[in-house]
Amino acid sequence: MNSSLILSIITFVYGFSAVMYISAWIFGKEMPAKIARVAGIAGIVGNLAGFLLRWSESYSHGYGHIPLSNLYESLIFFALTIALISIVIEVRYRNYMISTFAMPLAFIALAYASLSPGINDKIQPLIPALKSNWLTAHVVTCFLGYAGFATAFGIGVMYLVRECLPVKEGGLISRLPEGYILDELIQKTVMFGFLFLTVGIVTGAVWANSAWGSYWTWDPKETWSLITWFVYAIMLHLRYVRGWGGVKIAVISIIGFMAVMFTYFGVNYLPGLHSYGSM
Amino acid sequence: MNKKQVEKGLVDTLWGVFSSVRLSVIVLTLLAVTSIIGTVIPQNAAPAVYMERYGEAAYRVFHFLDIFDMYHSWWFQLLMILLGVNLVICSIDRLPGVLKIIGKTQRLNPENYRRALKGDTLTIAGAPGTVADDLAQRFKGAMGTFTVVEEGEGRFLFAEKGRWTRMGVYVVHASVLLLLAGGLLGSLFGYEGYMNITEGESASVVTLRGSDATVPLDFSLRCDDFDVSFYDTGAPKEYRSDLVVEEGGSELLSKRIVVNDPLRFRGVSFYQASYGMAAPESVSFSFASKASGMHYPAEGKLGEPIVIPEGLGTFTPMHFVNNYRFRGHDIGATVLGILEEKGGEPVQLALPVKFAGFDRMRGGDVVVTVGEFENRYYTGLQVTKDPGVWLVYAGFLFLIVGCYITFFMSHQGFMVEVAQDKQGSAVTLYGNANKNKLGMEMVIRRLTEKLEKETRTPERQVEK
Repeated sequence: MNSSLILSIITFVYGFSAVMYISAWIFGKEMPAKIARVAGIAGIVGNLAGFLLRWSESYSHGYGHIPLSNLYESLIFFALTIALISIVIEVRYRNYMISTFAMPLAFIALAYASLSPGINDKIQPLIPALKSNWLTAHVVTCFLGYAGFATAFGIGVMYLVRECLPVKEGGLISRLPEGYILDELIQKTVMFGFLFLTVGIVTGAVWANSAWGSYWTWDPKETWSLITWFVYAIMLHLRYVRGWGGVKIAVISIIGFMAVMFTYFGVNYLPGLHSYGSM
Repeated sequence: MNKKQVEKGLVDTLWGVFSSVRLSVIVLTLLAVTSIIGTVIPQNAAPAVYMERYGEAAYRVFHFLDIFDMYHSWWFQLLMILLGVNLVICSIDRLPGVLKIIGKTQRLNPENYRRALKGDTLTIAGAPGTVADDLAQRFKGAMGTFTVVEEGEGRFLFAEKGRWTRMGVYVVHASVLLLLAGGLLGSLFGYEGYMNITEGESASVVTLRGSDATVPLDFSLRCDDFDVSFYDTGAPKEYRSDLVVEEGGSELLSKRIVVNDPLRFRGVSFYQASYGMAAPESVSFSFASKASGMHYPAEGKLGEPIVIPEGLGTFTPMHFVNNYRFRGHDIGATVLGILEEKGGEPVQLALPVKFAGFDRMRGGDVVVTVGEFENRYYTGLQVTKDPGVWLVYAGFLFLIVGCYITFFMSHQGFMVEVAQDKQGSAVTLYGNANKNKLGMEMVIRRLTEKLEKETRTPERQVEK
């Protein structure tokens, strides 16, 4: 039993959980949502176990490093953070709809990691540039940020569906949480993401300064993370100071997530210091 | 209208423009959108590369707009200055109002809570006075210290907390100013350069990046040893240099540096950035004569011709190159030299250290091979001086703390209404917050539920 196998299995657990959440929504029943939540929690535990096992496996290879060093490992952690955050919000706000839209994202992230032939799941040694205690702080905070934005994106889509399509009494759309709750949740998850993205950028800058002697070099990944930061900063200003809400904010949460995705994946096609993220 | 009025009108208009959030949003949007350009068009490449890629006309336009070094262009810097000015004026414009709210005395009027978030009304045994005293103790942790207002038999309890959190956003703004100031200070008084030091040698001059300008250090740096190690997969594991700081013949400091652990001395930092094979002073060659089959060893210095026996001509080693590219392949450390055979045209030879028989390919009368030479590395150090870095770090700290205060703390006001009721007292919780209304709704709901649980069955509690 190795970590890659566990994580392949967890992919299906997340998939099952997502299907159950969606059926709870479609059939308007509580029961599948309860099953989905149990499956989701089991998935989180398994995902974490796979992460920790991979960590210990890296020691038996003689490399010994936290599994946050390439695309495969980051996707595993990303799936974990998305699933965890959505379940926490679900329990806190007593509404399973959040996970209905977020759990499929966790499934997609893990499925992409486990099943895509282009992604190498071999444990590789750390290149000298990554050998630093900052690695953990930087990657963990960045991905908590990404996960916050991913959740905001899911809720933003939900909001647009809820507000822009005709609502039929007792229909699918009427079972979504009310608009004002979604609106508030977009803001909350964006604030969570923004704080962690900020910490992620800061830890990255401090790390860069200790490894390369410059805290900011306008490397494409740095620049894109700053662009993402600007997009959400604009959103928060429009919201707080100009009182924007509803559809406009939901749309910005979607644009912002596009920037996040480009920061995460798109930048791998551009040259720069973060190119090891592409393996 | 006289001149003064016009001036005043202009100042007011400008103030209005610079204190508007609309400007912040426009500047942030411009920064975000234009930043994309530099991630798509490679920065600071050679003009020839751009010419080939974009053609001459586009090259001229891009060059005019500083697109090839856009993050340092006048217009990008102008946007950042605009953001800074906007931040300062916005803050000056709004801060007095916020300070006024923070300094105000608490309003003790139930009318203020008419539109606040409201919990369910609970009935609790006991007279309003006693119940109010109990509640004031019970909710002190969650709501703050209460002021009690009596209204006939009924009581109103008022509490507030987190007034100061209204300052959070100004902490964030101050942090951005610190970052801009730190960046400016670094670009004015700092530098970024490199030094290559051969093992066993010293250097005290930094060559700046992007130019041939140099900066002398007031001390010198010696590299005692450089070493690179590899994993069994062949991937590099560690680059390290043993460095010694010297001044006037005495050793001040020695440190072994690796990639994530630089040497810092007198505000200058030295980072392990690259390495290579140092050009040897002399190299031994072997000349194999095709006619006689004889091998003739010879020692030679770069730039000095060697006469090959049997009248085969002269060979002059010219350069030592670390990663020589031969027909698109990197063939590693290579000696380049010029061979002049009797009666023939001079030819340039590339003699890779790793491949002994390489010159045989040429099919000449003599085959030249590189033999022994003193194998020394040089360490490539990135050298930076940035006096603004501490401002930037302070900015980072403010930024994180400020974001936390702004997003996760709020100015909250609470009112507990205790009215007289047939069974004792009717208690209702009210809450107000300047941010996060949904969070406040949850707080009021939770506190009400908790209160209900704790007061519902006094008999059972007594039994316990």
